[in-house]
Amino acid sequence: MSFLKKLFTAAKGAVTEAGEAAADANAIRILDQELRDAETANGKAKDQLAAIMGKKKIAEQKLEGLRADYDRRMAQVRAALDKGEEDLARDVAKAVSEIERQGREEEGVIATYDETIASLRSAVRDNDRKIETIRRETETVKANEAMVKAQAAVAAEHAGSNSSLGSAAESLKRIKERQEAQKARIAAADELALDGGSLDDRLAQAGIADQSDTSADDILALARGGGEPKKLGQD
Amino acid sequence: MTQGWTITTLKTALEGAFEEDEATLLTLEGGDALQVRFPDHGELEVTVTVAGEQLLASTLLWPRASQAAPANFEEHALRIHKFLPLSTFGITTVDGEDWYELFGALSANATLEDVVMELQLLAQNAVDVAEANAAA
Repeated sequence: MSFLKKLFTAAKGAVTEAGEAAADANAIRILDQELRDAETANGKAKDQLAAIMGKKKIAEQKLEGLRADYDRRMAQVRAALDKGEEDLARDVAKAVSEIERQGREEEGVIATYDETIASLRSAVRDNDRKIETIRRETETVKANEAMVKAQAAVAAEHAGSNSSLGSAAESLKRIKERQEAQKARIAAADELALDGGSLDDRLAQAGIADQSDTSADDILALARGGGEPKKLGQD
Repeated sequence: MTQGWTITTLKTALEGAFEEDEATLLTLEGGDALQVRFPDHGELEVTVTVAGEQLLASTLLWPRASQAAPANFEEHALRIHKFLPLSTFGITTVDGEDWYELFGALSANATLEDVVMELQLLAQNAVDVAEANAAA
């Protein structure tokens, strides 16, 4: 089963309350097991490969011997024929035929060894890739572990020093607070620039009422006089 | 860089790469992680680790417990995260508490420019995501 499948299975099976990172807790153990399995498989495949290559070498030597026998016996057949020894030539030819049969057999054996060698080499390559993948996955898990450890250390430090965490939500709060504080500072600066108050405040202080303000008394006066109070938005 | 970043080499390189006051760098206990704090992003903290061929940068968003309808948010996050340049949503457990995180994974052989861009974007994205989620 692949590492990812195992992680999904682990997460499904475990109680994941409070996000208990079941995956992380198991990941290193799973990967270690996979690495051991892949390395053991590679060791076996390499041993088998060495054994088969040894056997192939022996088969090749045997074939070479048969080819030498063939050449030698064929020369003998020709020599016998040259001397008119038909019966002897026929007997030696029978031996040649047997050598040929053995040679074909040995070639078949060698071809089978070649197939086995090719498939074992392919298995070793597969395992090498698998080992490389597991190594990378282990690094990923370790990088995450280092991250989780570092974040826990930072959180503990913040808790100890009573300062708030440098999380995005807390940072946003600080940004808003800063913006508010800045707005307040700008407003205060504007007021200062106007020498202690707004224009309307200063006019009111000087007893000059804003003409656009209609007081309740004005409205009552208008009503008693029988006139219509001016409509909103009209002068 | 052929043999990849370490926390030490990365800290030195980043100190030269960031503008003054853009970020403060702190090696965390044990020397296995680097903390990058961004004053302009409300003191947002990004944690960086290196392991083997991988460089990880992560910032915490908010506790999962504080999220209204977390399942909805998580589905939403899966749908939108390809629109967040270089950053990925995750859930991580800090001291037994689940947090949403935004993280980026780089090759340990990434260039300094790549790492700087990753960190800047991560900080910007994290605050943008927090703001968008608060407004939702």
